[in-house]
Amino acid sequence: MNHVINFLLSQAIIIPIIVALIRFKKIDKAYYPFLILLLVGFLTELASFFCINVYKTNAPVLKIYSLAECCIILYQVYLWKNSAKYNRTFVVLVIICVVFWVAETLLFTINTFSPYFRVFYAFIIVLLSINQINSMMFYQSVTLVRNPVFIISLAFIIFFLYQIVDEASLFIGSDQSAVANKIIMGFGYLNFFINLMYAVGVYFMGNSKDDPYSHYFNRRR
Amino acid sequence: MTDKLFYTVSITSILIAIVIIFFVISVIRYHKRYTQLQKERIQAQIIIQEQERKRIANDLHDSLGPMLSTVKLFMSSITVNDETDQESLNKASGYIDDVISNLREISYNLLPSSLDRNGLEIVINEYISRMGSSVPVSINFAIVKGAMIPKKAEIHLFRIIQEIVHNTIKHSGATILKISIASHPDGLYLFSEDNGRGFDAEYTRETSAGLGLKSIENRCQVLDADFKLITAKNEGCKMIIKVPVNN
Repeated sequence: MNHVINFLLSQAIIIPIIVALIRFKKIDKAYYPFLILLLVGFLTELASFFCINVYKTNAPVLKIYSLAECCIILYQVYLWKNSAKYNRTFVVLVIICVVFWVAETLLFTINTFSPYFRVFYAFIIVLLSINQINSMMFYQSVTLVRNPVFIISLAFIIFFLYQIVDEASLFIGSDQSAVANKIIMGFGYLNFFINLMYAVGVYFMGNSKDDPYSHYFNRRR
Repeated sequence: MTDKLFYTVSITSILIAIVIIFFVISVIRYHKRYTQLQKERIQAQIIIQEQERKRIANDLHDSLGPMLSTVKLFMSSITVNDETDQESLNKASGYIDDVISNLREISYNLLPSSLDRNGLEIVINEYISRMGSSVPVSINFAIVKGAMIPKKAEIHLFRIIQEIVHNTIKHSGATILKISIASHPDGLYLFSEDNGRGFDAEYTRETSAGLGLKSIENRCQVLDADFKLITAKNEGCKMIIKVPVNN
């Protein structure tokens, strides 16, 4: 796939950002890490496009973004959990992720693509998101399809599961396997779809009583 | 290359398998916690309900009852010469007697005060004899000798029996209702059987707005008891409740 088309597809991240800007006053602080993630994602796409055109690689941008994405999502899930019981678990997870990233960067240098950290944190986020969704299914009596936490967690599961498969395909090499090539090509389209899911999630933030952090119940600001 | 492909696919498959297993375990874990939470909620509701019944029963019995008796006493101390007045007084006095007796009945139904003192067998027999010949069902109740009924379970078993009797009288059209309690090595069994018209249990559960069956199920949940309902149209109704030994 031409990287220009890929770039255009990835720019769909603008959609949730625009929705977030329009609805910003209604959105609870509990969602700020996610909004920051969208912003960081948008800047990374721009930086990647620039780096590919100028330096022919976006490995450093992608590596730094991976670490930032991992930490922000962990913090976001921690805020959603909103329980002191999980404090230590999340601190330990962040430390493990940072140590993993540093070790991988030292081992492969920052200019080389390596799949290990991306697979590792994707795996962690998928497990945390599954846990989040199950906890909501049993404990919250709100309509899940209108619940932003549910929509975003579901998007995380789809996206990061695909990321694991995508990293495996990149590791094999698109020139080595036709299947791997198709999986890698599909990532751009999936990314587009996930950004639409994020936009729907952001739209429901603070919109109804189905949002657990809605101002309808909770006036924390 | 083949090795690389094999290992990559294997590792990816393992990761996805772990995700699926984690999902299933997580669902089971949350479901277990949810069931426990539901049970605790029902337990709390029933405890509150029993406390409320106790309070109302005590108020009726200790406050309204003596007041009405005093009223009756004062009325009987009134001397009237007119025959019509005397007749009215007698009527009023009779009504007060009825009210007192109704109050006692209501108070008893809300909470049989003798349950703590006399135990389940006596209280149920008293409950059945109180209904006497006013009901069209002949009720046979027996506790098999040596049956050990835990003190905490008594009130729940009493309420379950009350509900069974009430449902049989109201809906079944039965003429005989047999209730028995027996101890077995694996638990305490409560059997009930009537010769009524029976019903479609599945259909009734889905469509009925009544709380009788639900109430029995809730009490069973509090007791950790197994509840089995055997019924079909025109085949009477059997209920078996097994309260575990350790309860």
